[in-house]
Amino acid sequence: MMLKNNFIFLLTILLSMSLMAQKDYIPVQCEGEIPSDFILRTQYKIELANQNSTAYKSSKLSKTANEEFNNTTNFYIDYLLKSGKIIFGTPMNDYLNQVGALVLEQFPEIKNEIRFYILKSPEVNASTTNQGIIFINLGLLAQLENEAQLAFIIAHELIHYKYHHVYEAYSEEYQAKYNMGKYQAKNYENKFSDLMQYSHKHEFMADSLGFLEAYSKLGYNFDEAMSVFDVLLYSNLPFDEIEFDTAYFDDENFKLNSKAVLKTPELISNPEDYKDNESTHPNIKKRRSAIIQLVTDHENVNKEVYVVSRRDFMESRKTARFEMSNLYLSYLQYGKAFYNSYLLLHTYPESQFLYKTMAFALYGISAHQNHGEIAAVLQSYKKMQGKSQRVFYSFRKMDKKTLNALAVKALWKYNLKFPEDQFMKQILEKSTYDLVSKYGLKYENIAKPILISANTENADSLLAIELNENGFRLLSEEEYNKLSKYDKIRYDKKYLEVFGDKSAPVEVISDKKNYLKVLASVRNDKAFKQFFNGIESEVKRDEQKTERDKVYVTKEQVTHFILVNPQYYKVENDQIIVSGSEEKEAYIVKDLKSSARQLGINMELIDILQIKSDEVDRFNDLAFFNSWVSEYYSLTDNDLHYQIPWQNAYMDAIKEKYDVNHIATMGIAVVSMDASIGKKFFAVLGGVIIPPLLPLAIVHAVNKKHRVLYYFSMVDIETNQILISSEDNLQGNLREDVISSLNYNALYQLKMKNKKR
Amino acid sequence: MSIFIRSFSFVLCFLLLSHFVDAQAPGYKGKKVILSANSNISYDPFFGRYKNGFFFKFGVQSEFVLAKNFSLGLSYIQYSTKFPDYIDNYYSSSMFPGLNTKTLTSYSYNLDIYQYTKGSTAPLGTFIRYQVFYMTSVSEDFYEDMGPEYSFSPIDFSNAGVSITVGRKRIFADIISLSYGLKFGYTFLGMPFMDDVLDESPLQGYGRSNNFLSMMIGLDVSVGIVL
Repeated sequence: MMLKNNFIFLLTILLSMSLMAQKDYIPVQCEGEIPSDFILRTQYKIELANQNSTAYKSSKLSKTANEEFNNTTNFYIDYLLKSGKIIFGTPMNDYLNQVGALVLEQFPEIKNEIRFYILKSPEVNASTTNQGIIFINLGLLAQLENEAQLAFIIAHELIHYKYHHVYEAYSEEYQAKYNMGKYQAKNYENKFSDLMQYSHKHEFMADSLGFLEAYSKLGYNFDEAMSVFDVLLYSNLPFDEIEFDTAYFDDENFKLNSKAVLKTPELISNPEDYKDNESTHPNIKKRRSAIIQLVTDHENVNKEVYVVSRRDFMESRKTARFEMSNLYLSYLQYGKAFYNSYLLLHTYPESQFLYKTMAFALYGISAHQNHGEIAAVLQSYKKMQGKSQRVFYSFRKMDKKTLNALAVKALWKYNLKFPEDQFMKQILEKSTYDLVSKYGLKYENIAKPILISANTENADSLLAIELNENGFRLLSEEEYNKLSKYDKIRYDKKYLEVFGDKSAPVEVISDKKNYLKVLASVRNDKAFKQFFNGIESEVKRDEQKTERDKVYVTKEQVTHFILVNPQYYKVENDQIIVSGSEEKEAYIVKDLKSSARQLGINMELIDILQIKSDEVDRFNDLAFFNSWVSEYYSLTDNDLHYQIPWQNAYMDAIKEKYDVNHIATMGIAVVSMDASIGKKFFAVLGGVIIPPLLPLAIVHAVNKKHRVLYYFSMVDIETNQILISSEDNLQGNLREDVISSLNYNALYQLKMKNKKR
Repeated sequence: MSIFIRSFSFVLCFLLLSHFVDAQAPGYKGKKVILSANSNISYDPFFGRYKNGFFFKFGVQSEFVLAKNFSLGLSYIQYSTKFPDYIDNYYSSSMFPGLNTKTLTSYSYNLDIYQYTKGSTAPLGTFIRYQVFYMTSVSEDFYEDMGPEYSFSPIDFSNAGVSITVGRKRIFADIISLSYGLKFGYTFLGMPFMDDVLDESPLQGYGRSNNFLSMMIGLDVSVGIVL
């Protein structure tokens, strides 16, 4: 065990060094040839599925219901595949494919039907589709302890596929929806309960058959099939439990006010036997109990934790963990991003990416707090447990000025360390501008630094190794940090049992002008003084501007823009219609291009329907744009369009590549419904009363009612301002003249803006 | 014919004038003018025996887009209706439709205000057209026994009125416009009181009643070009 720990330690150091050798961490991008899953048209896939639905011959459902299943599932899976949220071709995928291939050896009958992809989602989850795609979430990869656990999860998912659980679940839901079979005469609650029980049955089956048919034959340690349930049980927590020291914010001149420091974080108490009657999965206690018998009944010959590669597992998990910081920032979960990077910083103390993500997270939290929107980016500390609770508590309890000043300090230090990062320089300017303009902070008001002798007390000595009378061995901080997240949780529980809450008394600090001290340590830096005075002058200049001067007008005439991933959806009686949609989308885009040309604007399209299998760079650009657009509009939804999106950090390269400053998105949805019986009756009645109207009345009664929802939006990525936002909601069908009119109108706003210049 | 030319010239002058207005409106792909031929069919529940139950009207109209949901137009429309050459007893004469009938023609000059619904963009989509019109009606020479003298002479009179049309406009191949809708109207000085018809001025009353009925409710269809 000792040897193992040493080995892990050495490996961690090596990995850390290899990371330092790289320039810096870059968010993950797909590589190689684009798999056909991403390229093939959805309509083609549906037609193929309808022809090959031999697996459902014994089904109780009609042909129409089966076709509806193929239609809906293919639509949603393709939506995901084409969104850019799926990763393929990376070393992470290669490793996943290798473990997958190992497990698949036990399933020769489905071996050629399975594809593994990684889903960019922080959720700890894996999923299977009826089409043979297994998605492993980044959040899961970041939390797994070893390869054996990954193999067990893959085996579990393959059982779902092998026994058509997705289709069977749909079939069951369908019967419940239309009161068929055993669902006749059941109320909603009973139907729901039955469906959940049915789903639990599938999960138990996937656990046990996954173990019996595959995992038990692969040479892995059976204990890991049990410990994977710990990963699931504590999936709401970060990937590790490391004490957050609020001294992170402090220095010789500033200490956080006591009210912003949580004395004792809440102990983690995730119970195993939680209520599961409204969940698709049975609770962990039941799942663990169901499999424990199988584990004990079988002899564990080889107790390997790694069969494919330990190194590749560690490397993949490291990438996943780094990517989590990126994902959290993109999803505006700044508190989680901050703590995730903080955890990684313990292992990779030289990573620029981690400093950058933490400083940006601070800026994001501060910007939202300045506008009273902190709840949008910071989970409530009351809903949290464990060590990360302290982070969320501090951010919530800090006053706005202190938070803003801390963001400026972190950004200033980052810029001193990495002066070449222009993006973060921009963030520093923005955050300082807020501090000066919102709170009127002047350079002369920043507290003057006091010099005290450095306290060199070693933090490692805080926990001495000792054995108390109960035989509980206290660990040194170094030893403690080496424990897995799950061992730390167990250790903390035991510690509390033996010693009770003996947290050190906190020095009480309460200073209303504490925020003036935050920047004291950098006050005497000449460069800081110059920088700060520059921002003050800028604020003064802006204050003298009239409202008219502040009205936004684009800096340059728009002559070129990129249209990213246009969307077209047709929904008839609540059913998504794929047939003809891709062709319609192509027509809409062609028309938009024609309107743009008419107005003297050049439009470049980045759309999955146009990307060929060897254009992985373009696919990555699409993925980036989609993600950026999603982040940008999440910010604008919170009325924070003046906050710079995180992913602008990677925008310069794209701007240069496409030589463009404007990004547009558009979408059209056509929703059609049959007229109600009442409306039909009154229409015909009207026609009978006024005979000349009879033909109209009949047409009105027979025709579907259509509604067209249209949006077009364009953003100036140089200034982060929305240049065009066009939304229309009109009755009637989406005919060609309507498409032309909507497209032209949207771009016409641009012409007007160009004219105003 | 001269009336037709006069009204058409008026429409053209208006369009020319409007063209200089720098409208902040996209129109249909930048096109803001529609010139169209218009027809209207309406039902006559009272005097239908003379005209197979329907009034048929035709004319020309113009429309110029001034804002995203708003446009102005001028139009001209005319229709004819028949009446018996000799009227001393309207009901007895009407027993023989088509026998010795004369024509009463009405010319309507209209100012149109188009309000397009929220989602639509002028000149496309669903609209409500508010119309103010002035009608003159002229008959062929006829023999009127109620006049001061027994002689052949024409009769002319005028009406004013308002109408509302609820309709929809479509555009094909970026140039052809098709508009259809229901038109509801009211003409002043033209109530269809049967007393008027039975009174001493049967033709004038008959004409005004015709105008009123023809404007009351009708189906409006226009085909035009988008410029």
